[in-house]
Amino acid sequence: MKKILPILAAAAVLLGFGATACVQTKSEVDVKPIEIKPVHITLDINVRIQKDLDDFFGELDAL
Amino acid sequence: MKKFLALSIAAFALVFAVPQVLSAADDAATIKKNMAERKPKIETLKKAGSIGENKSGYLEAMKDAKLEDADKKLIEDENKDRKAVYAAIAKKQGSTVEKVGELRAQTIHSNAKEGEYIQGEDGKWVKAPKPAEKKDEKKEK
Repeated sequence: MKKILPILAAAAVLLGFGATACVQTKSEVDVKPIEIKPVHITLDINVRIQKDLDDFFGELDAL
Repeated sequence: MKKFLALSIAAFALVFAVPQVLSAADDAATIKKNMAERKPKIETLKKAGSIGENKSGYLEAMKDAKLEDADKKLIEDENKDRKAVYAAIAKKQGSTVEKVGELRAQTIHSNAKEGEYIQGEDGKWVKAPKPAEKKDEKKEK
């Protein structure tokens, strides 16, 4: 019986970690798309604006 | 009747739409030409510390600068043309004139020659650093 107790305790701890890890993974999946999308859109617009600016002012800046 | 309609549409396009497209291209070419002509004088004024590049993408006279009327007109004309370009790009990209100006200011500031006045994001005017220092700043970022 004494030998089984530490094994059971270790198993319980491992199960606990496992459960926690599952919860963390879920919350990341929920949050990521909401936070990252607008940043991508903003960056994309800025890149396109910067390209238009370079197209127009490129020659003038090189003078 | 169909022929008449088609002819009418073609005539409308020739009278209204085509000149508008052409005039937009002409405007851009004219603005570019005028900016190129103004550039040497603007460079001289920048070198003298009389004017600087603000954080919104426009030229601005320094506080104590004694500018002649012709110089003031030059700054005014340059800023008017810059605004027209920013507005055209903003319209095309669904952005604002202010945002386009801010992005342009970033490029102008990174191209600024040593000692020229540039306005930081905090509104303070500083002299542009040496090119080597600029490289270091970029590396740090």
